Amino acid sequence: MGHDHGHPHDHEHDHQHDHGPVEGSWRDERADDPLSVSRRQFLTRAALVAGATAGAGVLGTGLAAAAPGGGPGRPGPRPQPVNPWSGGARFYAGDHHIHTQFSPDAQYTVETQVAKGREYGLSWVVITDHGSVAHQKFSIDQVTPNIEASRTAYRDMLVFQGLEWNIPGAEHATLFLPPGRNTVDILRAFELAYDGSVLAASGVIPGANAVQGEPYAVQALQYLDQQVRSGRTDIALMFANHPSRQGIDSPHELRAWRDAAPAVAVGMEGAPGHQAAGIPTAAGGPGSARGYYDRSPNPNSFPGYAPTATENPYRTYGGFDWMTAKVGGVWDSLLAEGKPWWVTSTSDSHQVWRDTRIPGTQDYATTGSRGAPVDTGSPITTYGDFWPGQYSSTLVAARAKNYVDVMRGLQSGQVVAVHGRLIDGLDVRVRATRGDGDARGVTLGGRTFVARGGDIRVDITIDRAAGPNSSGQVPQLAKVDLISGPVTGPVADRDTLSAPQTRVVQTFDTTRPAGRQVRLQYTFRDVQQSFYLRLRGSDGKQLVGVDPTMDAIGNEDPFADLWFYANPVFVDVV
Amino acid sequence: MTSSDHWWVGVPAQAADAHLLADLDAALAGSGRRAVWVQTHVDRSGPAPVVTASWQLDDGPALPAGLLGDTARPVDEVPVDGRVVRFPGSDAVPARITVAQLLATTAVDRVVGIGAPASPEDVVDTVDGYLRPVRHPDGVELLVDPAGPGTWRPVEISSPHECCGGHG
Repeated sequence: MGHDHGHPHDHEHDHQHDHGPVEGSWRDERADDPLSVSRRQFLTRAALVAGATAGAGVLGTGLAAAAPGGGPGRPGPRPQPVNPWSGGARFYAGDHHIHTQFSPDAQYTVETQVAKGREYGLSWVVITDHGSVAHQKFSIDQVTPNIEASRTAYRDMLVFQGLEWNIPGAEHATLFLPPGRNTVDILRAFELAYDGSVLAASGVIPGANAVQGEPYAVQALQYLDQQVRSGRTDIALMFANHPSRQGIDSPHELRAWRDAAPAVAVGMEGAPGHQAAGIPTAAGGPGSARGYYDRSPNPNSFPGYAPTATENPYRTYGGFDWMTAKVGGVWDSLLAEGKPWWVTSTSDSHQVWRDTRIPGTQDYATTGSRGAPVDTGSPITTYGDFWPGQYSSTLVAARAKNYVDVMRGLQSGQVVAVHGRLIDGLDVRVRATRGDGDARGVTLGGRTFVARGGDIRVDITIDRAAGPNSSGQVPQLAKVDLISGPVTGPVADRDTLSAPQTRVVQTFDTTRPAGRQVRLQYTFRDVQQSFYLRLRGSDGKQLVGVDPTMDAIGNEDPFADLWFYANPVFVDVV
Repeated sequence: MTSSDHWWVGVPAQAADAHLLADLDAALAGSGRRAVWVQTHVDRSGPAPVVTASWQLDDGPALPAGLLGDTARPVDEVPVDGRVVRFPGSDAVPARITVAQLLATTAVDRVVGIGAPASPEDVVDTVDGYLRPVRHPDGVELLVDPAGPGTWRPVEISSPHECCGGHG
């Protein structure tokens, strides 16, 4: 498995795990075999070399990637494109935010969540129970063998071990590593030293969300970055979860995380989980807010996120977080700096709408587990979640279906966040078609270049949903927006939360022609300034102009308001 | 100093609404006075945010000095941008009330729908009678989110979804 790293047809191989031991597992019987170790190191190096190209966009800083050696009046070396387009990239659907009985507010076994994710078409899942004193002390030792067992039981699934980290001074975040000799040790040490609730319990900070925690968040990410640099793990990733839910992920915190460890802190949930929570009570739903986004400013909230007569940052828009859904909003303000920051879509699955089970009766605080869930035999309509993959998917283009390559795909931004199977695939190629530049072009998360005055062409091929989603309907993509804004460089005010020049440059009607694929094209002519572009699409059922509507409290059928958001491509004008 | 014209400001020992109201009522018990308006504010001038309170008493006998604690002091102007925890009419708000009735029976000056105007006949779903409008220089405003046709929900509700046992 993994024997064909580096071959151009890697992406065709998605079945390496059908036979043989579980790759990368610390229970892998070959792990203590010297030959195996050297082979493993070879593979690791191969992955790092492969990652060097893919990762440049992650590690590069804006325009610095272009012409570093150029002096005044003298052209520098040609820039190195990031995420070069190859066509036919293979996407793997996954979910980086899943809870189990090892969270105090959740209930399912690891095995159940992995099986459900597989049933709904996922290739990779991340188990992310809440960080806490009890979790650190008791849960890690229990979830680890459960994850191992699920890897063995479902050999075609990648089951990552992670943590839902209470970011000191802020919201939650997914944090995860590939399986490896040090994975559990790193997670355990990290949670003890840097989880906000653990720090609060020991009196280091006055509360998990308190502003005094902010420096610990930066140290935590630097610690993870150091684990990668020292070779203790191949990669470690962090995504900020439900960033607008309480208004406590301020713009300066997002920037601080990104800049402290750009290879680790790579993005945020573009859409939170709990997407069934807004189903009306009249329709047998919980009647809450979509995403459980029903909060309002608290003393720790960033004052710039205030609700007004025109918008409420604490609500979802078309199921997506306001930071992502607002054109020219927080996400765009980060991208306009020319730095990567990717968005995803997850289930945050705790308790699934209409499931019949309730949590076990075990005392979490003293055991770190709720125990086995209890089946009541009747569907519970107050639950607001979907199973992993049932509604939310994060599509990741990876060289091959293995742990490190999927993480490198996430790190490099070759990622599309999709709700309700609105689309099955997306190929984006951005290239220079006039003037000196990158004629091959790059794809999602990438960085290309063209000489000033040249043209940049965007070619988009979308695979329409080839079958029904989990509601039984075949979703129809009604429109696609091409969004673009200039790259204006690092902001002086780290709390900047808007990018006023970013806008929808073109809306494509995709209701016709019917057919398996949609092909779209757009050319930016005579470009004068570095810029970025990104795509989103919708079923067109709930729009204000071209934008998503703010989701109504207790009145949202999630399958009647579907969106996808693709990650950006940066274009350097040199 | 004890006229109802005056507002007081202070730093509450316990910032949670219920504690703030209970502490104020306990301090005033037997004084013949009552806090009829109570607001909270967030002071962000220091390294960490601090919740402060402001309140106005009804008319009545003079208060003994120091009754309202060490930090309390009278101010000349109505503290604005406060989150209003208690206001005339706030103790009798039903779970569902029309905008017109809300304006007629409480001190709320206007109900502002996010994204669209709220009509007088529209219903405000308070869930349980809980309202936290905001005092602006030009009046007390209740901001409401769309919650289905002809229905609105206050931006702040009493019991938002709690994650991980309320520790999140």
